[in-house]
Amino acid sequence: MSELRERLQEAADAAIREGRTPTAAVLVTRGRRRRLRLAGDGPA
Amino acid sequence: MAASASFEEFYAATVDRLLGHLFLVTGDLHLAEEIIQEAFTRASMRWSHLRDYDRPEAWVRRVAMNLAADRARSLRRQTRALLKLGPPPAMPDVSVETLALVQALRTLPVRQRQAIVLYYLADLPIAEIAQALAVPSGTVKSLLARGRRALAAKLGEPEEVFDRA
Repeated sequence: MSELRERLQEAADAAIREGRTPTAAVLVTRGRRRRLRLAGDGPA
Repeated sequence: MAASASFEEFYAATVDRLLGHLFLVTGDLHLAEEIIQEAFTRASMRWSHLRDYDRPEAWVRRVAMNLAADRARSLRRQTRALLKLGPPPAMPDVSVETLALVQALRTLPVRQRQAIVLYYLADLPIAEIAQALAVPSGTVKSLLARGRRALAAKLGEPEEVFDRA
């Protein structure tokens, strides 16, 4: 297990390869909508 | 990160790294994706402040680690109630040895998992891990020691080989 770091990195790299993350614009829009909702100005 | 960086630049530079860390903390790729999206959504809402931080990534990581801890507690309760009727965790394609490590990590308390990932993978110093997890440095050392011992036992390997390279 001296290669613990390498094995952790292998798993992390696989997650990065196969993971799905939206674009930043999607998250910015989501955050904006949430802010409006919290302020009571947006759709429920 | 430069104070003038846009949220888009910050996101592009950090999302993969944090997704990798969160996968190892949660042991479930889909859950890690969900947590990362939520942490970055919150960051986008505060970007006008966060952009001036020396390391806004540390803020996102702390939020993500807190969300992971909350989810782990919630899942533990659900597991007790539902006797593990949910779907199996989403797992990327890795070697048998690495899969065993991920599965062994999943059996540790979430704080131990977080300490191990932040120390070995994120390469953070003890003081910074303490800050990220909101615990004293002594607690981080204890979490690492217990986590190393438990992992070594579960994988049937000697604990000494965990020395940080």
